[in-house]
Amino acid sequence: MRKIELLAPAGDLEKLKIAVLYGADAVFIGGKKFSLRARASNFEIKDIKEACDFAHKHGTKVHVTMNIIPHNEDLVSLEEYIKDLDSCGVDAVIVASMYIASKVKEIAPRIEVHFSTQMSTTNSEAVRFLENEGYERAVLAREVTLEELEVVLPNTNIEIEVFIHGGMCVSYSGRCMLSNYMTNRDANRGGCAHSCRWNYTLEDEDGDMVSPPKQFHYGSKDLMALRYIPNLIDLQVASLKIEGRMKSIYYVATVVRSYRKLIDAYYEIQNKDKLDWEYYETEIKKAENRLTSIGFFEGQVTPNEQLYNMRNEIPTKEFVGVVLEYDASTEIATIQQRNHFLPDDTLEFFGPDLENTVYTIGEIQDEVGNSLDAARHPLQILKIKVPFTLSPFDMVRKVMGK
Amino acid sequence: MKLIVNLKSLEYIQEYTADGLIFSHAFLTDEDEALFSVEEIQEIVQYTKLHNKESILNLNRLFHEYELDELREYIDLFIKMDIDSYIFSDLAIYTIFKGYNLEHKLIYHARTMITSLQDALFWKSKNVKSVFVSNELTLEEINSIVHAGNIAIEAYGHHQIFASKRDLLSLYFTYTKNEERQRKFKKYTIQEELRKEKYPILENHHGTVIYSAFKYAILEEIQSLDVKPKYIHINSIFIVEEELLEIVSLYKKVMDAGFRESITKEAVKRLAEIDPNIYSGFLYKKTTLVKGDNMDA
Repeated sequence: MRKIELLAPAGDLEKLKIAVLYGADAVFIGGKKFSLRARASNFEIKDIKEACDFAHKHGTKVHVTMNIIPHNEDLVSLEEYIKDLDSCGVDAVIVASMYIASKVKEIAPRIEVHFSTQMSTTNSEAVRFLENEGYERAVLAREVTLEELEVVLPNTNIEIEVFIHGGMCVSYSGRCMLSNYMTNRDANRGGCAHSCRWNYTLEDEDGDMVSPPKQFHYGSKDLMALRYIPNLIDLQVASLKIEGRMKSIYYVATVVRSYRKLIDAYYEIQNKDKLDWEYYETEIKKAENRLTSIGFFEGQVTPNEQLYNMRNEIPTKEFVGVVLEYDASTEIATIQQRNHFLPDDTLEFFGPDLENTVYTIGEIQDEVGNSLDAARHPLQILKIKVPFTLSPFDMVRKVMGK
Repeated sequence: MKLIVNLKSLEYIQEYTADGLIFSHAFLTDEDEALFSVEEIQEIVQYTKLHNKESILNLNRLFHEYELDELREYIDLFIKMDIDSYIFSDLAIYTIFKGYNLEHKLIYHARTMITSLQDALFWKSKNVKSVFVSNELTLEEINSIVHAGNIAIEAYGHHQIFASKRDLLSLYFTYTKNEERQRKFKKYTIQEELRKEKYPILENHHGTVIYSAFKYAILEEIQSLDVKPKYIHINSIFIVEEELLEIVSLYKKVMDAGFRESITKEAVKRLAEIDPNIYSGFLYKKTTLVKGDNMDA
């Protein structure tokens, strides 16, 4: 049985490297063209090549999003772009347009075609359509329940990908025009204005207010399907997707690492009751800044899955630095600062191969050895003494003040 | 070019001057319009055959796995009625109809998905009868896509601009402990805090839908298209039947007159009198690609 794929977002090359090192089996990135989330699509062709080279060296696949619903003008350089992706060694593209899909298969049959959740594929007959067209994978709609998955999986022959973490559209994906009608920004070409998260007033047909002014909300909390990972593995889902190409490297590292550990632990233990659920949930809360819910996994949503109070979560830990190098002979770690911290702060170090290790640091020095009263400058290079081995890309965080 | 319209009632079916009548069953659509029982649908189909009109069953929602058996039963039943055409958006419908070798009776209408000539041609290559273009297109873009030769366009009415599996009104009323409020099939409106327009919102058995604030109308522009659409559609939702029948007659009169200028102008003027708020949607308003961060991929 093939091990399930953990698919992580990568908004730029740094995030891609973090996702790869922290345990992703595959990453998805956006190029400058055809990608639905162009604000997080920073990859020029040369960057995609570098991304593929780095990822492949670590045994990780690269999927490129091409999931806009294209207008004629968007398709001008399609063939050239597909050839470029092919020459970069891209493993798969994620599409929502039947035409783009067919051109990928025509020009670069080596590249797998995965149908985006923008297609809102909700059943096995719809998957069969994609199968009959010769495509490799369907990313199911986030409205599909666990009970439905139990029927869809045995009745389909292509790979099934399921979202497990991150933002959720409140509408069926790809079928929403709110942003375009309200702001002239086309969600299906990367311009979503998040109109579903704004403040509304609800009125009945007589014009009487049903909600207090500006207090009707209908947006969705983000998804966190942590508790369902064993079920999805047992069902032989091909891939588990984490959403969030706009998220920070700290978020990517924390969330990817947590799911990586959970997946590996379940394959090893084969008993979900023996998994340390509290550990995984606590880990994710160290980086999660949005309210989360189980989405549709248990069936039709309840008010618990809706975003009514519009507040954000505060992560329990704050990212303060990333390790650049470690000198074992002097026990000096070189760190790039990302948030304020102080000498004598108690920090938590973690990394792809480093279990969470809490340590109270002493002096903080700058790059030339000056002692600092605080690490207050973003991206400043700092040196601190740490009596255990660190590796590049390990991260440092501190407990947030309440 | 055929004029097709959602039938509002059996009572006035003889008043509909359109070339085709669209109807549906509550299980098969997320539109709360033109809903009939199986027996009534049988009656409508018989009427269309007698009066040489096209019968069109609306199957245009997304179906979930647990609904497939019931969906197949309905399709089997309606195929036996020899309905002329079926509007769909779920790829499952294509797979099922292909199994009957009846995909040539399908009209693809996923609202947002056909925005290029090439995507329209893809569906033509799949042997479907027609393809609705997205409502988010400029006139110039529509004029390009009609070259596919089998295009359908929305000509009049409110556009469905949002469809959710979630019961958004019920959820809100539960959250606010206002559960005595009627939720299903009752029209409410939502108004965003910085905007004046109000968008109709409805909850039905399949979730929640939101419609455009205003009715869209395209009439004289149709004449300017290089290739005439195969279908033009009048969506009857939120339009009273008397008014709808007049609008259908206006369109039909213009079409029958070959879009003669005087008759077209007269019809356009009358449409504006019937509803001064009708607008041209995106026909002359190119959408922007301001970068957002929706939940891909």
